[in-house]
Amino acid sequence: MQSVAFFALGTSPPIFVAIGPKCLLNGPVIKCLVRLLHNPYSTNQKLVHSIQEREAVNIKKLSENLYEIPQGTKSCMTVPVRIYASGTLVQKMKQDKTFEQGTNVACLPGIYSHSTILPDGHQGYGFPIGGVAATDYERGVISPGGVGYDINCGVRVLTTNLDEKDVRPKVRSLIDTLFREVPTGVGRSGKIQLAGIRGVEEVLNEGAAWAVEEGYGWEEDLKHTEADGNLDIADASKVSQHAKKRGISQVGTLGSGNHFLEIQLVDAIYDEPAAKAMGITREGQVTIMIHSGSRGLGHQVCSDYIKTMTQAMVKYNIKVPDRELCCAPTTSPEGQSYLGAMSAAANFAWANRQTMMHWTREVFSKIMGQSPEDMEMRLIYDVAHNMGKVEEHDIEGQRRKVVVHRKGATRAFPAEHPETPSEYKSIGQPVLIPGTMGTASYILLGNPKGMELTFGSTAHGAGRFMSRSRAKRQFYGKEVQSSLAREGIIVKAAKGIVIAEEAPGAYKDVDEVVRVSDSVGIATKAIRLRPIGVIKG
Amino acid sequence: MTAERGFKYHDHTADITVECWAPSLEEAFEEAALGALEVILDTSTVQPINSADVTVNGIDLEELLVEWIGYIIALIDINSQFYSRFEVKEIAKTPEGFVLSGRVWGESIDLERHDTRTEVKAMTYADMSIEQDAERTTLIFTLDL
Repeated sequence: MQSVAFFALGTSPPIFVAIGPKCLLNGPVIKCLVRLLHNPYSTNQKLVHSIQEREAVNIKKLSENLYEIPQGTKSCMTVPVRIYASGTLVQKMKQDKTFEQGTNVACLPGIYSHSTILPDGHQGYGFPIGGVAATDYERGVISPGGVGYDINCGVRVLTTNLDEKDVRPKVRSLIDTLFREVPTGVGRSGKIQLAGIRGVEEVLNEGAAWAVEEGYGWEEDLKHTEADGNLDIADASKVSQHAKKRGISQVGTLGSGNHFLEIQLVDAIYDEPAAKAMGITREGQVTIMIHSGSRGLGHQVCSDYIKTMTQAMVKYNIKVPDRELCCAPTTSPEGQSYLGAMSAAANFAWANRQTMMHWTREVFSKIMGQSPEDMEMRLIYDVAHNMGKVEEHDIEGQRRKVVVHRKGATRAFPAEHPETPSEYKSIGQPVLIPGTMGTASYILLGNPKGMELTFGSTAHGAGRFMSRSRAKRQFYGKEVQSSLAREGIIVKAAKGIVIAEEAPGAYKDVDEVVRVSDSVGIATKAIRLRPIGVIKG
Repeated sequence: MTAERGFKYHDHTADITVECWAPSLEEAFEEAALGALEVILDTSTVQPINSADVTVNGIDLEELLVEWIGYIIALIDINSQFYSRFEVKEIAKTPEGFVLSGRVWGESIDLERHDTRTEVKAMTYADMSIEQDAERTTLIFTLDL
């Protein structure tokens, strides 16, 4: 099979061409044409701009780790694109549509300052993944594409007072038991069956608090969850019946793909006082990380509102360069409905991660023979990386109410920020950057500079650079599994194929992503974690 | 050059792009559903013993394709079933756009028998192309994984 990628040529309307992988590396593009495809928007001219595409995006280096695509690159841009990345990361971004998508985001009505691409930026839908945009609440739009299909996909990490020597001999049984107790993979229903649509609505309106009330976890967990795990603007009545039906048996399920539950060791501490505030005192200390989202319910909310927004754009006469960027004025009925539904789906995701954390505590208790309280299995923090939030920011000397779209981007608020939990007021909000099995994960801290540069946001992970099918051709699940086992990492997945697709080699270098985030000042490196046991969907 | 109808996959950094073709638009939509389900599992392990009617609409063919594939993905969760056979009875033009009426066949999820692969989060508009001529319809679309 000839593998191909799609590029836009500088014609009006653009012609999309497919080229083989060697062309991506060797160029020039034009010589590598394999076949011409139609402009994919040819039947949707009423919805989209006719844009003068440039054959090569004009990227200017402004300073170390900062690049810009000027405002005039596309006629619809009202702000430039800012890219926070090293030369190496920029080269990787050039291989897909990251920059093209970044310039499209700069066309969103009401966008402030710039469309931002973070160090882990890569091609997504509408927005690049690792993309941030702040739009004016009154005069701007809200776009489901700026949040993504997996609403409130996010990460939580909990600490323990255990050390490597306590856990290493029991990793195999911990992983086997976690794999049994936490449903993972395609088609696996959860252990919790909600009481029909009304049961789902309770979760949508209450978030992680629902889980705690039901006995899944501790009251104090909520204080260490972004927005206390419950957005009060959530409105279950704005979520379709279809979406609610998908959610009935999905609370407490990990999902598939890059989602994981990981037993980790503290590998390095860069900021001792901050680490101590988070309960991390030494290398070799055991932590547990959970990466999951809002499951089919959240995916359905996004799909439903893409349809709603497509109609709304005709109604409000809004034009955007990519159908996945469809949007509506935030204050319009459609915009408000999406905000309520998206926040409800975010609550569902918090309940989901909260429940899985509870079972993780139970499994540890069973295998280690101590209570979760005795092992001090405290939640350090839970933070979203696919989210739209109504926030206030200082923009060009004025306080503005905005919708911050963070698509594959982690909120990173500094010390003293009102939304930073009281225990972390002096150090800044913990920012969780998950690696992929075999690579490190990080805990960073929000930094005031992030408020100036990226609306209080930083990267969310390594970001893929190899397609899943290429990863499958290049890696074999069993080999990846045994090579990780030799490094002391036990991986258990529903299917070997997922291990190949998610092989560490298919991702960009998470250390580089974190190094750039730290060096730019959009978050400060505090702790490095490395896995010793992983369960995947 | 290729079979009269079928589908194949193309690389995409984070996800997967499906290309499918058939003599008619309806049959191409059937291939699209099979192509999407084959990402999720080996459909030859799913017996087509239960069926469900599907009616979806779209303002244009692109939206119709997104709704059709999106609906089937949602049905997997809602009915706890996998599907392996797809029939598009008709795609009709209406004043508002298009309406598709079809039927899907499958059975309740049984992870002992069903050889699953990867979860599909959603059907998207990314890189979508719908080409039609007298002999052949070709659809290209990308799934978010």
